Amino acid sequence: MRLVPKICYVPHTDRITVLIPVDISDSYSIPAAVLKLLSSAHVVVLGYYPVPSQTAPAQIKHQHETDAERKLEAVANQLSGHAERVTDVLVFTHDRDETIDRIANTHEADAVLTPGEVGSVDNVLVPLRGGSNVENILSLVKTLLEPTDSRVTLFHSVDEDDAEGHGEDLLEEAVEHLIKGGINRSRVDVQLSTGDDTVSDILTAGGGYDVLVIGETKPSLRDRILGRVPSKVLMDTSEPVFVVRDTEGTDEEEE
Amino acid sequence: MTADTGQLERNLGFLEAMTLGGGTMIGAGIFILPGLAAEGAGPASSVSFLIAGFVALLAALSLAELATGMPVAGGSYHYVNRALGGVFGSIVGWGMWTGLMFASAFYMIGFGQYIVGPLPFLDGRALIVLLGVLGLFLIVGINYYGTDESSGAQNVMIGVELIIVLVYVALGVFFVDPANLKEFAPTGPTGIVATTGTVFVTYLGFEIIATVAGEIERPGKLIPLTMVLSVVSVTLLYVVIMIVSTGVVPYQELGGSLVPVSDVASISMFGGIGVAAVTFAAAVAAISSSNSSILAASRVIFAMGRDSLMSERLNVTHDRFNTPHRAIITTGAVTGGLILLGLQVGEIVALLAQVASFSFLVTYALVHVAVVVFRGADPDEYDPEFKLPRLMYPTVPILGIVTAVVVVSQMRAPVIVVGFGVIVLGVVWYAVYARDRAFEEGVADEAVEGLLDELPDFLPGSTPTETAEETYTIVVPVANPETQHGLLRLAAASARAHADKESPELVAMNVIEAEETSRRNVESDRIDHQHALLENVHEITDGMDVDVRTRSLVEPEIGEAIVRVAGEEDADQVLTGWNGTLARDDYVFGKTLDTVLSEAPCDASLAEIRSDTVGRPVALAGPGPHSPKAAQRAVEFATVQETTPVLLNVQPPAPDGESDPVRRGHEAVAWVADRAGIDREEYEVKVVVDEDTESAILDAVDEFETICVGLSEKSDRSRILFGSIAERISQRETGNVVVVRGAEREGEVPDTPGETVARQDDA
Repeated sequence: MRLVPKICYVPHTDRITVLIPVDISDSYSIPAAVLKLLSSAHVVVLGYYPVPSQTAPAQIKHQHETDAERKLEAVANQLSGHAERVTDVLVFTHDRDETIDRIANTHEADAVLTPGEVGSVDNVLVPLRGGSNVENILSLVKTLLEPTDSRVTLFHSVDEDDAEGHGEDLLEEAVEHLIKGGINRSRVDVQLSTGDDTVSDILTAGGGYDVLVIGETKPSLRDRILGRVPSKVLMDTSEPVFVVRDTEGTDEEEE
Repeated sequence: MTADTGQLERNLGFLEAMTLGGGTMIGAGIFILPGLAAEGAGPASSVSFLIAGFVALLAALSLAELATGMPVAGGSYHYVNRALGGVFGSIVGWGMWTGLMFASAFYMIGFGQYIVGPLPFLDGRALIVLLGVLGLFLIVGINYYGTDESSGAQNVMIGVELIIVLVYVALGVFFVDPANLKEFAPTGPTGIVATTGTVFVTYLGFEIIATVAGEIERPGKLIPLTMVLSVVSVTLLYVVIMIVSTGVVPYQELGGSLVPVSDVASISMFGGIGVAAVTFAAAVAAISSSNSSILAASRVIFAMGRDSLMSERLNVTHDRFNTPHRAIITTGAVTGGLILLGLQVGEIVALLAQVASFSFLVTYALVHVAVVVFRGADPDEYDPEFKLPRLMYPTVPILGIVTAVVVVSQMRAPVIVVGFGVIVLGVVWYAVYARDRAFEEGVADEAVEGLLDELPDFLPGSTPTETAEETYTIVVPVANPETQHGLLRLAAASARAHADKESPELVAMNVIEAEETSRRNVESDRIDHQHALLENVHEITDGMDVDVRTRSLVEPEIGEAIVRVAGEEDADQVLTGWNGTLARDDYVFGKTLDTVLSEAPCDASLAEIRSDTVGRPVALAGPGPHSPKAAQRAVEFATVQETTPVLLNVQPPAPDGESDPVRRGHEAVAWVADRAGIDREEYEVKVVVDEDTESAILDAVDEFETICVGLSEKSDRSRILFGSIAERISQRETGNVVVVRGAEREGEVPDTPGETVARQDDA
């Protein structure tokens, strides 16, 4: 029980909330270049301690809680001077993905950052998959770009015969959206691809990128039965990836 | 930053719980038991399964109630230990651990039998045992390194196994020869009951659900559902399987076989293909069942360690793999030894199954007792989401105990000897190892008291006046181990001061702030907190000469929980901690304390504890409706070190010399003392004359170790102003500051000393 007065509740504003899951059983620090991107975001640091099925989570908590709290605090301290607001959560779990989902829901996170290695952020790649989730993706991009002078590449992949030019329309609207949000047109590139293999298209797009912002995909039936497989893009990239949550669609998913 | 303590995720959903429970139950048993069962009771062994299933269902119902009431790791062990205390806890803990080891050895010998069976060049008991040990070695190895839940491999394996079993049943129906079933019950009723004791080993699967109760999502719903569903479906499956198996192959033949299901499959499932499929399924089943048993065993050992009934050294987790490797190795080593016994003992499979059954029958009988005890004592933390309906209680527990005893009584002598050996082990272990370490006391005593309260008329010697005696109850919310001692000491002093009229009682409470979410395990936090409470509170108050009880709650709002408890306990006072600062937003003392101050139906005191001693208390005897209460508290706190409290009053200098400010001060103090019902010899007076009331107060209280301040309540504004005086005192002082608010009584207008004061006799 805490008897210190609670910080009063701040109503949900336009501020973007980014969840950073951190394996707290390992040592970890956030790359300096990424810290800069988060300047105007509310960051929720989720320290998760992976627990094998052989062990009761309470047992690991019993033995490692102090250590884990110390490590989590170190990560949170690293952030506190940079992000707008920092919240930390420590969870002992058998299943990292489930925990990320739950914490993302309770804190109404807009995106989940999978940290990677990066020296400096000069170009942010944003593949757009069509109409869904585009608004959320673009508001995050805006928040990330504001405090930096990084460039952004909007990317879309279409079939060979996109006669009506849907792809171009999509990209054009996205550019408009960013400009309206105060991003200089000169910082925005667009790229339309007509390849078959979307994943490799994304990975080779723009030549070099430092950070990736993608929309989340719903787990397939197979994923639900066999456990979730990290999306191919996430697996093949070593750069930091922001996965933007589809906040409009999540309600339907709840039972 | 919120710096919450670590949360425990609940990761096991419906499918995972069913694979653990149901998977273990249809697992190994299905391939080995048909032979043993046919030998024991012929085709009527299907009835044995029905009886065993019924006994298990009763246990599952009681266990489900307990598990939803306390969904944490440890299963039956935890509930029995909580209900009946350490001796029974030790018996059940050891019984479950050894039972799981016996069951595991049983599965692995079956594994050896099925591998050896279809391969003609492999033969002999030594090979069976060798393969069993190798299989076990594999499982222990995997568990040592740890596995990930999300792989889903286990789900797929058990799914395939289930399909093979269903095909076996579906095809087998067409090959049933009614002539084989003609002699339905060759061994009669005693044979059927005796066989029940063998096949009951199947039903320890749902206990595995209870041992991982702390990790199951939406425990209130999924625990009862998966337990009951797995017991019922598995029972029906076994009944059909027994009828099919004994219908296809005559029971005499089936009974002599080590691989009964393969024998049936070779007839009904296209010969070799069927045998291969069954062999595969049997191997998968044995490994997954054995695996689940090892998982369950380490949860039981962990739970025992949590209660100091087992060495914590056994529970240390691996640096890199985070698995409880010592517990796993120990379980594996003993299980290996049991498998090796197969070299010497001919009927090892039946014996292992029966001893495991015995242990779990005893366990389940005690689980039924535990339900009755919890219902009787009804401790506050016991609030099961699934409760046995009125029609089933107390029928289910009573019937459960009776049937378990009947099944045990029909067991063979060597099984009963070994089984009782395990019970004796538990008792001896408690007496030799655990008694001095374990502090957990069962709620059984409370239950007896509860029953006595309910039936005072029927019991001679219990006079109603005893229970109706007035108590002066102080609710003390404790949270911070550093200030807990100081709070309890003040509370005890305050309560004891009423000892002449009412018997003093403290209720120490702790609230875990949490929404009742489905995925987070607050139950485990609750247990940690509760233990800390039980340990510390009782230690601290030992010798304070008051009755002490503890309450542990999980609530979304701490303040409201405190108010509710104060109401339920019919408390006379709430004494809670305060960190000495005021909130900077809409609250005065903070959300929790504001709720307590404004809503508690009794006196409320906020104490900032900063000194190890109470010393000589001082109370501010100024204007304000709660000054008398502050004075009263000061008198009560003074008894700790037998000092005389000081009542302090600050007066401004006389503006035009009309009356002596010192005299006015004395009159004001006398008025306060009179209102508080304090005799003149119980306090000393100090009057300070100064322009600046606030700084005069601050200077005057500097020498005192405990300062009592009445809460001003005239308006919101003055409340805040007054709070700021209290805050400034607490900033300057090294001692304790207590902010006091008296109970609000309707119709009593808070007044201030006026002209009427003059009539006070200044003796």
